[in-house]
Amino acid sequence: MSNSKAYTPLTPAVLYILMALADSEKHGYAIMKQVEADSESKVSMGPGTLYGSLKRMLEAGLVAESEKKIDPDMDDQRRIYYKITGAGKQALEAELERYRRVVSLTKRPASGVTT
Amino acid sequence: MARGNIKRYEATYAKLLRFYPKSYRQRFAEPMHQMFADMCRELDQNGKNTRSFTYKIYAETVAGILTERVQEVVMNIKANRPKVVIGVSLVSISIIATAILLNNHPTTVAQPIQPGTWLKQVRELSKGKKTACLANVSSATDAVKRDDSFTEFKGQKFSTFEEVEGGAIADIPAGTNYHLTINSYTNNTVKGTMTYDKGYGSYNYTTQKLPAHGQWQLMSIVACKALP
Repeated sequence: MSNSKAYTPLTPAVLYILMALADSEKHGYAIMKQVEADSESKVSMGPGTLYGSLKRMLEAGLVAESEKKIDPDMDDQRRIYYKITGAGKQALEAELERYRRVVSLTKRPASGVTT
Repeated sequence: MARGNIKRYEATYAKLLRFYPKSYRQRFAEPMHQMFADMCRELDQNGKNTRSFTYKIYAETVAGILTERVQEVVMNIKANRPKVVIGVSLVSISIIATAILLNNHPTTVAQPIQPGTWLKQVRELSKGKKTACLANVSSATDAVKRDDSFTEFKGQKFSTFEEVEGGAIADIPAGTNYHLTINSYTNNTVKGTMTYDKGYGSYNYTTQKLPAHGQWQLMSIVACKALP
């Protein structure tokens, strides 16, 4: 992706999925569990939301399908893994930067306001 | 939850996935089904009730299907393919119909029916549901007798509670005898079963004593199968 800012602001679902994939590739169920943990159970994603978002993220080049393999922590079923792409990392970084700027704005004293 | 229930929920979910556009289905139906099964298994292992969870997921899936179908329509409009647009619209309508049917799935519990409903409606709304009639508990009956006030009508004494129950279903003829059981009586809420003579059937009821003026008000009626 030439301009990572083109995708910001990201939807909460996309942001959490990118964060979940930031450190390692994961299959759908593992992404869902990671999102649940990262959001302290405030965001819960069913298969419809997760795969609907993944579809759009695949089309946008933010994530890519990895190989189909078995998760040793689960059962013997082969699962499709997803990984974050370079464009996905840039979009995530741009979004987090946007959040940092918003937070810094809130810490700045408001001009023209008298108490 | 029984393993059989998980299988049934999975089968319904698999049917629902068929309504996604073909290209989406080919790519994501299998992992979605796998994820749904994983979630069911986890809830089951933690001893949690999966019924409300599955309905939530079904609703989410219907919303997802509609989103994908709408996107398909938009893409086809852009590509000037009106026949495909009509076809996709018909499929979307059938999805909504399926969602309504799923809502009336026979495995769901009987829906509460409002007091004053006609007998035919009560039976129709309760059709195929498997709610058991509530058994009699004498201590609860005593509690109601102690707490209830009595009124007289044509020389006969009735409790307010009985009067409310007697008028539960709109078109059961006046004078039809009924047998009342009380299953529980807690916090001014009474639950039990009333069985009418002459084949009018058995119904679980919930009634509450209104705090303002102490009268009993029937909250719901559900047709039930008599206990053996």
